[in-house]
Amino acid sequence: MTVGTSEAAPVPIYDGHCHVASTDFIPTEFIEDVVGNVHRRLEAEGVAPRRSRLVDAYVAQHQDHHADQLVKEMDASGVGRAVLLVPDFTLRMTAPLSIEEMARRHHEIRLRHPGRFWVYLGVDPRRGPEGVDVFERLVGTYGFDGLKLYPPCGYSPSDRALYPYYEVCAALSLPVFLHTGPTAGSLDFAPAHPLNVDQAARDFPLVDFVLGHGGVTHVDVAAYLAAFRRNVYLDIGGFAGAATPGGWPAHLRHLFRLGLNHKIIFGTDWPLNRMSGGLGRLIEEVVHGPQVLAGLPHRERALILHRNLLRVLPARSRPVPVS
Amino acid sequence: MTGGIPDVTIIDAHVNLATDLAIPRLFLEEQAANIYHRLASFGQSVKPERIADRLFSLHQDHDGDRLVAEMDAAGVEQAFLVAPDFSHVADVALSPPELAELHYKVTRRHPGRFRVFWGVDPRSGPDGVALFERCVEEYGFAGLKLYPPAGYSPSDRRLYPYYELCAGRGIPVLSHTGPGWGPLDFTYGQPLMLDEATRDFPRVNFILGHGGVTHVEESAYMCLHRPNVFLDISQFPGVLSSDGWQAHLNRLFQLSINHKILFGTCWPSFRMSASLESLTKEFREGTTVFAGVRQSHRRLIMAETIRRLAGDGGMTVAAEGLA
Repeated sequence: MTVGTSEAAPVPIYDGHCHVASTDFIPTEFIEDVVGNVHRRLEAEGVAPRRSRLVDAYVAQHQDHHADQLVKEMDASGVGRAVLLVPDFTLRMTAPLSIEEMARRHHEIRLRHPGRFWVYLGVDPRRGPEGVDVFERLVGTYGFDGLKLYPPCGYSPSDRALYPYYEVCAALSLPVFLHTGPTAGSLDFAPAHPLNVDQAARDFPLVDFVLGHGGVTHVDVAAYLAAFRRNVYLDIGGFAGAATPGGWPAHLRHLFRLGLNHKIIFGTDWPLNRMSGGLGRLIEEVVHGPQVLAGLPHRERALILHRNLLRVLPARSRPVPVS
Repeated sequence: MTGGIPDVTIIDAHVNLATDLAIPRLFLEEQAANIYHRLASFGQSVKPERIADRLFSLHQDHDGDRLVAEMDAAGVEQAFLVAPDFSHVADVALSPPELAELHYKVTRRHPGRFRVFWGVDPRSGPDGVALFERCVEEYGFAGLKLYPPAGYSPSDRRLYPYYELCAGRGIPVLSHTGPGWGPLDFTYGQPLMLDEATRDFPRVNFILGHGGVTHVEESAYMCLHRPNVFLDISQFPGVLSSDGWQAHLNRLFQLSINHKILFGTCWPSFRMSASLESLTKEFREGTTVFAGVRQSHRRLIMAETIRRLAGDGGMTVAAEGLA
């Protein structure tokens, strides 16, 4: 599961940001929001199909209930392992499954594809004190690897109601992965500003916080947070769909030359870009393309492509020890 | 020499007295830990204690002698010492009145070389206002300094008595923006927090400290649209830019706000990695920083604007023994 580089030994590639492309986990409302933007664009270009047909097409792309397709993509593109994020949308959207059911299903996916996935389980702090117990129990039962937050559901990552969860994370050395920046149109963008994490990051210096999409939106703020706070990292999920002049390879090229490569975690946000060439094309461009990683020291490539992820994961989740 | 400005007068609008009498030990420890984390992540073998020791030893310039020697070597005629008020957020060796006296002594020890921005905190009550007034009247301090990450907005109403004084006496306000000392709250570093104060006090000139380095877009448009808002470029050696700080500054100098930009370094922030002389040399002789920038604009940036803000030819502190 490695891809050779031109410079030295093959560097393992781990994807720090994936979702199981399944309508069992991703609410149809979320898909409809995504389609809303696509439809608006196609409409402006005069080539829009009926909205319902677009929704059908997207729903059809979200039938990979056991992650078999994802594993196939990973195999074909040389991605050894990936993090599966399980956002908790249940307070804002109609979720087909309960958090317990989603956890069990992700556990089964791990059993089905041994050694391929880590899982960060999502919570919404408004679930109340019993939510903490549920999270702690599920993480313990299934040996999950991190906490996933989705602030656009309407809360700040520094909300005090999250602190009991952070206590659990501190005790178990679990990272916290939080979405930052824009998302589905019916959710709130303001709570997703990266500075909202600052208080929590100061109050829990032993918990690593990964700013989802921090290398793609609000990059300047996310980057200085990563530079100034030891426990803040950047994810680049969604990079291929970013509104970046000059194209995403040029954008990543700049990002990887800020002196922050000890803080940037490679991730794609699969299946976000499934319709535009799949994982293989992205990995090829990132790893072997002329721009993104070209000329970077071997060590820094390794940090971005897997080592930083291993560093934020608890020791028990690492396939190999890291310093 | 095409991009340089060899014989220009240089006034550094933003330096610090490198003394642990003013900077809390906790802040330096946090900075050392951050440096260590970074170096270790990149695989450099360093001892954390050695970084901390080095940082502490750099903060023993209580009388400014070392700073003046560096200014001499770098051709910096005068510098604005920024005296921060951290008394509400950490243990500081000196009380605010003692700190004011220390800075006054430094200005007298090095006649004509320093002016002082006096740091305040809105939580100090009437005593703080009285001390500021005394600093201006008796010590000839040139401006007011704010450090909002200590936990307040620069538009906090409790600061308005200070602004009244500034308005009455034509004294500028320098407010830190962006990230800062690790233990403090970065959410207060957003430039827009100053907006209300700048509207309520149109006769007071406000300088966005580091505004040319972080939150640049926001800082630049405030400069463009508010007559009384300026920014400084201090901390530029640490700017997160893929093509270096020289190219970053050159882009900044193309934004039609050169009448609002102040040269500043935040020295000795970068003493561990550069010399002040090497930095100013890039402005004098480098081909990038000032490429395409008019000579008259270069002079504004390097000295003339800060001089005007502080009252041109205004009060300079008498030499020791003459007062």
